Amino acid sequence: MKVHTDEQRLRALHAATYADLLRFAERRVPHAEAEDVVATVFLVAWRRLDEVPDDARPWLFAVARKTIANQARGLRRRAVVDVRIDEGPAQDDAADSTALRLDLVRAWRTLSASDREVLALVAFDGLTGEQAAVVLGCRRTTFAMRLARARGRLRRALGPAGSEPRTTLVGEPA
Amino acid sequence: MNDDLKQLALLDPARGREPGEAQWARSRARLDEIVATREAVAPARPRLLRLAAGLAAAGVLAAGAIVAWPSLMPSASSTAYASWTSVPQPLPEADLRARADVCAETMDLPWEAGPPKTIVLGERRGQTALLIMTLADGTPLECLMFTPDKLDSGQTLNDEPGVAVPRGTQVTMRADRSASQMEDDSWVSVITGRAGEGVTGIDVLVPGRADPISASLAGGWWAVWWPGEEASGAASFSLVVHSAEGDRRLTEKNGERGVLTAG
Repeated sequence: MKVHTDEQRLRALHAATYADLLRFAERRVPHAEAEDVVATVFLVAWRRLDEVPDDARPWLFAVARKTIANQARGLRRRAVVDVRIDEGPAQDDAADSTALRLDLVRAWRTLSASDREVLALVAFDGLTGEQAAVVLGCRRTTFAMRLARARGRLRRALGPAGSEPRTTLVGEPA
Repeated sequence: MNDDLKQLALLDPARGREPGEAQWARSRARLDEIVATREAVAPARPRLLRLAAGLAAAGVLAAGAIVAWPSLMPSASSTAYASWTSVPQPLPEADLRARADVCAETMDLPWEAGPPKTIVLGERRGQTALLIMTLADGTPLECLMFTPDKLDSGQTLNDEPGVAVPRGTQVTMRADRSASQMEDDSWVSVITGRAGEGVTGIDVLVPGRADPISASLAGGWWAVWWPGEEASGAASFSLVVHSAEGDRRLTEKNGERGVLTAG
């Protein structure tokens, strides 16, 4: 009864990863489109269930990323899937937090879409470097290098050369 | 996670979001539909990079079709038309793979379709190339390219329901033929079909045109294109099919695209 077993596995995958996948999609496409992206991911997973690894989440995120890239109505696939950010202050933001948020938003806007994608996979999606490498289809060492460079550019954007940074990142020398 | 990345999480647009009950319910319902596809996988819908004139005018392009117009230099199509020939020439082997890659990339197909696998047919009429290839997942794809680095019109050629692969001297003509409108408002028509192994040549008779157009024939497929919008209309096309058994003429039934009858 392989079909029955497969169906059980797909439903277990859905239960375990739907919320993560929906958040992954909502970070990258308008909310109205996110559910369609996730449905496409599970369709692909169903068709390729034998290829879904035990650590399914990065694999499913990779499918979601490619689905989003392919949804571009441009004539060429997007090599990078840009990430949205929450630019508004949270209601419970203290003044310091609001200032930090403004700094982060300003710095984020100076980064390339490629840097933003790398940073978001770790900071927003909560992936390890190894998992993020699976999503991007690159080697772990390549991802580590890209992440280090993106973080460096983020730091520089937060503290422009020749001026004191408005925000000191925790753990960074002041 | 490092502290700078933790701080960056302040900007996460989905921070703390959980799917609502309605979202879970919708997703479970869609999962039920997906599971049901294993018994009856629906054929892939065609992807078009082509404007079907009549349909577009009526605003009723098929759901799921991708329709787009690549940017064209104004001279690209007119130059292509000026060099067009009614008899195709073979496309050099060296050109085939590069053009196939450009075509598949531009069509923006689902990623699981994969890259070009087999180039079934490649022809040249003047400077314009027409290719039929199969992608890694078996999807057939047709591409028309005025220049080597740009796709001007393309379409997936998924199996048509109820149409069997022809054998011997049988031929089929696809019902989803169409014409593409270019940015300079000119048109090109493309017709493709399948042919049995006994078919040695096909000439297409375009309504309103005196001279037949010789189709390219390879790998069980045939294809022809010409400057003009005739393929978008309701006119019936005829084929002259050549084989060792002699020539015979087939004509579309009036009002029934792709349904060929003798005569």
